[in-house]
This record gives sequence, structure tokens and C-alpha cells, in this order.
Amino acid sequence: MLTALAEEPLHGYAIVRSVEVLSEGRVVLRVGTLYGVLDRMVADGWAVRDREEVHQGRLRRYYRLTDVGVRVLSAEVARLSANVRAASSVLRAREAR
Amino acid sequence: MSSNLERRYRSLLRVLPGWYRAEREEEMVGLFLTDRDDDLDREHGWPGWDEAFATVGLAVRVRFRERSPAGDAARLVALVGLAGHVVLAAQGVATAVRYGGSPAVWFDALAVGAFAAVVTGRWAWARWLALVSAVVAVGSAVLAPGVSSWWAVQSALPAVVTAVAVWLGFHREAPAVPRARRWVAVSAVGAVLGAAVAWVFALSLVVWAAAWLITTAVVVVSRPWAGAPAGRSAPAG
Repeated sequence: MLTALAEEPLHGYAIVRSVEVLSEGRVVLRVGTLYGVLDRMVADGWAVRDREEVHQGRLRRYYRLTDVGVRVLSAEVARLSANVRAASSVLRAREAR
Repeated sequence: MSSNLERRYRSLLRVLPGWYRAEREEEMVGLFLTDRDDDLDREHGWPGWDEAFATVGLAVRVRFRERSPAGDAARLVALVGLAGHVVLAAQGVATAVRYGGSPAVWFDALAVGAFAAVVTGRWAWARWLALVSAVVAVGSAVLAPGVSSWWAVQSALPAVVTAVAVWLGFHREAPAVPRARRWVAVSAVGAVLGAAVAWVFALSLVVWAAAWLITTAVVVVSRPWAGAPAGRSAPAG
């Protein structure tokens, strides 16, 4: 969800779709799960409400990443990149044997 | 005019607290109905089981969240229950050493494992270990030959109550246990005292009652929740 919100503010349905696309279909967020995570991200200051719109008579509330959220995402990307580098290094060493 | 499906989703959302629904209901209903625009579905469709489970999970997390009275109570009951089961495990070992026989190794390992998982922030482990422990307790009580129904209920009830409290209190976004070391000390002191009682008395009812009295007394005296800083969620589980 951090990655989904990194590009631009999104409403709930757009977050669900974005997470599904980013994960290549592996993660399908249920509404209850989505709002549990969103509540937590807002409480931790990673995301804030951006604006509200009414679309076809339904309320859409947009959320955007804060600077703290961007830093958390950057740290997570760095951590995962380090894991990938370590695993790649082990595989290269194995192939070189 | 709202459809039957919308009314069913709104009914499902009643598991959430009123203040949360006031804040989120319209937004959530809009999201539920986004991909369900077939007229037949709008009239005869129902919320899926997966959506229902996720919404109930959200309700548990909201109602038993950090710094909520219900959440704090559930976590206290869970910790006292798990500490009591650690004391019972110690008594089982003491009784086996003193009078022969074998302790209920699997049940004791599950209870001690669940306690260790809670104080180290492994919520998912704690939930499943507590649940299996409760199932084992109920199964043992029901299937044991010649056991009275009163004794069966009384011996299995704490494990069931503890498991329910662990599931409600230590959900995915629960705060870390404040003063975890003090809880470990509580269970250690209780285990020693409980084992001493089991060493002296052979009667299972006395030993069982002593386990819970000792646990309650040690918890009340040591007040492990007192002066605790606001906990943050555990990283795992």
C-alpha cells in the first residue's frame, strides 16, 4: 500500500486495484483489511486524508503518503534491495563453483 | 433507493463501533458496491464470506485497539490466563516428579509456548498456540474416562477463556506487551510457588485452585501493568 500511494493520492478502490496490479494478482485486499491498514498508516503518520469526492453518488476519500511514509518506503526498498544483493551474490558464487 | 445488497452490506458493518461507522460507512459501502453493479446481484446478492471475515477482523482490531478499555482488559485476561497455565505446567512437572506418572507434556508445551510468544511479540504464534491449547484442554476434559461434567468444564474453561482473550487482545495491530519482563517474572514466581504446592498436596482440585490463586495474587502484588509506557505494535505476527 505504501508503494501504491507513492505515486499520487488514491481513494480506497484505486488502492485495492493498484495493490493487485503491483503484486501481479498475488494480493487482493478485502475492504476490512484495507481500512485496517489505512487506519494504522494514518495513526502512525505514514499517510493522511487528502480530499473527498462524490462519484456516482458514492463518497470517495483520497489518501496520500506523508514525508514520513516516503521515508518508511525508502527504508523498506533499501532493506529489500540489500536482501536481493545478498541472495544474488550467493547465487553468483554458487554458479562460479 | 438502496438495494438489498447495500442493506446487507450496511448490516454487516454493524459489527463495527458506531463512531467508526459514522466516519467510514459511506466510504466502505461505496467500495463494497463498486464492482457489483448487476441488477440481479444488487437485489439477490450477499456479501462474500471473505469480505465478512475481513470486516469482522477489522471490528476486532478497532474495538480491541491500543489504549481501548476493552482491548486492555482482553490483553490483561490473556496474560493472566497464560501465566496461570505456565504455573499449571510447572505443577504438572512437580507432581510427576513427586508422585510418578507423566505430565501433560503437549498441553504444557503449548501453554508455555503461547506465553513466550505473547511476551516476545509473536502474536500469530500466540493466537494459534492458545487455540490449540484450548482445543486440547476441551478434548482432554470431554474424552477423559470417568470425569464429571463439572470437573471437565472447570478444567477446560480457563484455557478457552484465555484463547478467546488472546485472539481478541493480541490481533495483528495490538500494542507490544508493556513490562514484558515483569510478566515473565510473574510467571516464574508463580511457577515456583505453584510447584511447591503441587509437591505438598496430591489432590488435583487443591493444586488446580492454588495455581489460579497464586497467579492472581502474584499479578495483583506485582501490578505488571502499572507505570507502563504506551506500547507500540509488535513487529511480528
